[in-house]
Amino acid sequence: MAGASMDDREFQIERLISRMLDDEATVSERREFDVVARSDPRAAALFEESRSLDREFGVALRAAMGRSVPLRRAQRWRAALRVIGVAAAACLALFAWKQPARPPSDGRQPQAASSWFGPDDAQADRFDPRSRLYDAPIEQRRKVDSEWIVIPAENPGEFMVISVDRIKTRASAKQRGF
Amino acid sequence: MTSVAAQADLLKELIVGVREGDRLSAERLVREHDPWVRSVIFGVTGRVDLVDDIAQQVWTQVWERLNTLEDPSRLRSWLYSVARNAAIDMSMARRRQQRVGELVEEPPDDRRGDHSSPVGRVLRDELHATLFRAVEALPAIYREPFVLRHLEGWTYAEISEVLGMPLESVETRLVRARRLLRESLQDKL
Repeated sequence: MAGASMDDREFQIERLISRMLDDEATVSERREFDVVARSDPRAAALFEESRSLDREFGVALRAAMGRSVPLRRAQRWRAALRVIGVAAAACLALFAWKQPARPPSDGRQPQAASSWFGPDDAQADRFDPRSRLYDAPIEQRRKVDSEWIVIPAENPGEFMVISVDRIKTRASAKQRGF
Repeated sequence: MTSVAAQADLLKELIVGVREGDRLSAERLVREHDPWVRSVIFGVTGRVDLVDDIAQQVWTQVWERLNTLEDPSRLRSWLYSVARNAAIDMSMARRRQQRVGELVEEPPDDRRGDHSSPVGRVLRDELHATLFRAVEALPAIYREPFVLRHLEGWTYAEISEVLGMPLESVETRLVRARRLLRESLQDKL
């Protein structure tokens, strides 16, 4: 049997490490391991190695069984920022849509249905970049996968919000022996 | 009422619902228990490509035999034995088929060719593929508790209850599983 040949002390250290990794260790067992790890660098190294392997085993197994793989902290932040970005853009668009158009200074009545969300024949959908009302697009960049471009529309208080999803690339594996 | 007693009541209610043919209860039963049943199947067979087929068989057997479950609080142990037996039967059947050459079976690694699925995408990662193969190669007695711990996050007590073995045995098997895995990966990482 594999365990029969295990050195007793070595087995006890592995047992402690296993209990710590599985959240089964008591407070006194944690203290005991702290003492062992301080006096035996091999035990500390084994703990670190086992902890990192355990994490990767979890990811590999979840992926193989078709389960969702838990996001790492940075990925969670990026996902949260993306949601916040979308929500902010939606709020901005809603605000711009609800904002009543101010009448032109020459006294003419504002055009009806002057909204990006208006019917197909809405006048506001005509967007002439050469118009004197045109301002340079304001590009807002965030450290997320999505970028937001806000372009002022023809009427005051109206904006077009464009969401651009950037393609993010990353190295997935190091290949040898090509 | 203690939470354990409340849980037992909920479980009883669920089983009664399923027996009476309530579709929502049946859906809940599968939703809550299918993931770990699949882990048990993988733990026993070490073959991720067999999991879907065996899980289907298990649930068919569950509907047929649910009336034989006398104590609903023993549902997990009962489901475990159904899943384990189905997994062993299927593994043996596959082995027999392979022996007589009646079936040209795809090796489990061929799943990595399925690039459109999450399995394919992640297993292309060299490290995870290596780790997964190491788990597949573990003897079943170590793989079972290892998978329930790492995939389901079960405590030693939960594993011990379902596998029907003492807590110390669960602990020892997890220590040995980790040791075997480290040894098998020594030259590969």
